[in-house]
Amino acid sequence: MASAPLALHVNNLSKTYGSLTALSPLDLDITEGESVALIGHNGSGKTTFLRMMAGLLESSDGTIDIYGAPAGSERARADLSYLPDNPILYDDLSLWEHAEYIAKLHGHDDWAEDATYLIGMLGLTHRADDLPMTFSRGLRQKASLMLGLIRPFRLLIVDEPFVGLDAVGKTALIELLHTAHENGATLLVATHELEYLRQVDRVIALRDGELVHDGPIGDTDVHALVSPDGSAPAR
Amino acid sequence: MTATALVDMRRARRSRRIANIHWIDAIYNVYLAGLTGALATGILSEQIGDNMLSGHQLDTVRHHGPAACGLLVAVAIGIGLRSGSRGGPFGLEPAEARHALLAPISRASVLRGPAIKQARFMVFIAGIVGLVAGRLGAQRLPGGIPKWMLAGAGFGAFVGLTMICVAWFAGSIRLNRAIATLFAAAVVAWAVADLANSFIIAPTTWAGHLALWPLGVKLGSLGAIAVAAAFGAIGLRRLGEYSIEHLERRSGLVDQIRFAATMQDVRTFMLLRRQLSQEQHRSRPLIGPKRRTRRPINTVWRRDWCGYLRWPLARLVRVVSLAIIAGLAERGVWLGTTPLVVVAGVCLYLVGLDVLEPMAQETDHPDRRDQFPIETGRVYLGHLPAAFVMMFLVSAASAGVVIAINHDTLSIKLAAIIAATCTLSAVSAATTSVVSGAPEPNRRSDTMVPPEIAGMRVVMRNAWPFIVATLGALPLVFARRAFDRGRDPIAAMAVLTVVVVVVALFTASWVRFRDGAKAWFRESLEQAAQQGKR
Repeated sequence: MASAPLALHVNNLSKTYGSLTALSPLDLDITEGESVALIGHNGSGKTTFLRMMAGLLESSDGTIDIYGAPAGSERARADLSYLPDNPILYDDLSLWEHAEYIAKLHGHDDWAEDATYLIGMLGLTHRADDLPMTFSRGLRQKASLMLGLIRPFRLLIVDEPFVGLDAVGKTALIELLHTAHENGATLLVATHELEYLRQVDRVIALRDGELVHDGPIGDTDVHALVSPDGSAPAR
Repeated sequence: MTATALVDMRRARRSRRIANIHWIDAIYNVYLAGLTGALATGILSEQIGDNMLSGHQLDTVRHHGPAACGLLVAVAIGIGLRSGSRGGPFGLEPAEARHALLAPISRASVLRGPAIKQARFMVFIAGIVGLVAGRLGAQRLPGGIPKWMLAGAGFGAFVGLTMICVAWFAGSIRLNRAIATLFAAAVVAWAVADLANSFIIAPTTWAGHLALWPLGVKLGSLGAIAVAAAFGAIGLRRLGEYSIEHLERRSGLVDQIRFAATMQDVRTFMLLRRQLSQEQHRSRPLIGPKRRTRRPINTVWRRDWCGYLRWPLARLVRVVSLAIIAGLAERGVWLGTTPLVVVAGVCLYLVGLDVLEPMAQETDHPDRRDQFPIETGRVYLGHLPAAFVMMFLVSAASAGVVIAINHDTLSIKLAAIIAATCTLSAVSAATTSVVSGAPEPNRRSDTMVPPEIAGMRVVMRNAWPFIVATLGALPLVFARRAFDRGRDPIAAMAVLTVVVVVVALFTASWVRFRDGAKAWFRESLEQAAQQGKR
């Protein structure tokens, strides 16, 4: 049986800012169809890693390949959808116009049906014709999630998607992520929501830019993994 | 197909923006800009006069003019190199940087539209400035008004376009920031050397001939146009190679800078400008890395010097450059070009804003400041001694430039007095700006005055720091006039020197008692309102 192709291949990747090391040399492979969570304390290098995958940050050394194409290249941008933790939206486009624009930019011409579904799932139907600049932080986050999902992708990387969402939003998001995974997408979700870790195939943990865990979560002490010094907090 | 979506959406958004323009407002803005421009041109025209240059003066223009204009080109190249190495001149909309640049379409096609738009705007503005300069030059130079206006507009457009083309080139080859700065310094230094000594021909001087073509055509200057065009063509072709990291960082900052400029928030503007140029404090101070354990004599004084000793190299270079420009402007004032007092004042005001950084950080975080068990006025006042010392060092450097050019006893005396007045005026101006902060929208007291007076207050609020800063170099004008009439120039400076000292004392008192006075005023207003209700 042929093995699944690599969705992500990271080779000796590092990122430094002057004397500060944001990410130590890292080697990592994620195969197509995997569902992976990325955890770590604040400043552990999660966002840096995700932004390098999206092509928004340049590495100091090493390479990242998305389905065989260098991160940031046109092919990689077609395969990878990045949902950042800070929603950035156009001031003068309604949510519906955003959906149309982003979908078409990615060559998805039959977008309207998908947009209706996603907007409905995220509880945004009544705000579809409003400008996102009038939205609350949570609604903007939902709008951003919708835009990440409206376009075609094979690898979905998500940074702190649960921040700012209400309980209904969180449930809807988990369902959308499951659906995307069932449809064959590879998922990599950076999160502080430790309950979500039970729903993924594999957990990757970073501490001060170094890989400290890679595998199923099993009986691993998650609190120790996300602690800056590796110790579990006293309970 | 995907690129078509980009074009269609941009077109649709542009149409919507145009549809939303309030034409009366737009016409009013054009009218205001035209009126201000005409007024400024009139004042400059008055200063320049309309006597044709003598044969000897014309020879001087022919001899040094191209190098002087070439220096402008060199500065434009320097700015372009530094801007391009940091992802400039682009200032994309943050959403465009996030969505369009991450879409699977050629980045060059995303960037080309904004790039050309920016170049067009720059050519227009620089061309207008050149046109006005040409018109003013024609008052004293032979060759006729149309020729000089055409030469001015063409040269202005060339300088603007050169800056943009060099920036595209530097950005597209991802020129390292340090190397870009080094190249920029070398180009400017070469042009300065040519201006000072015409035996060293700088390439930018050939470009400078373009501005003076009514005095004689130099075919070699066409080479400068060809070189700039080549840079532009390469840059434009390679736009897709720009660092997206730089583009994304700039997009957020440029957006905030525009907002800060709209709000007339000088402090925020400066902070964002520093972030844009990636100006970060040194992790270790320049000198004195040891931590002091004994109690310092004055905590605020020590805190200020800790900050100054962590100034990044870029800030040091900027401050020294501004000091040199101020010195040269002071020299120009002494030689008879009175408007240069504004240049000297503005340069030292900008230095003052850097020098008052520690005080500005107190105003940035009022919650932290208000937790100090000391009155705010005392905290602010505590920052002034170190600021005065630091500013005096800078003003002394400016004076040093004047003395280096002409070191007779009179120049030394004049320079010493001007160093003192410029120190006082620059710190006073910057203190006013820092402590005032950004204008508060919907101030209660604004509702009590007629709109005309409120408008005047806004104008005064913005103009006051510049007026105070200019006061520092103004005694030189009085000294020069006295000297020309055979009177004692030092004595002639006395009155304005006293005015500068009074303004500095007033500013220090205002800083010290401002909060108390405001509280008293607010209380009085509330009492008056309550009495009115009764």
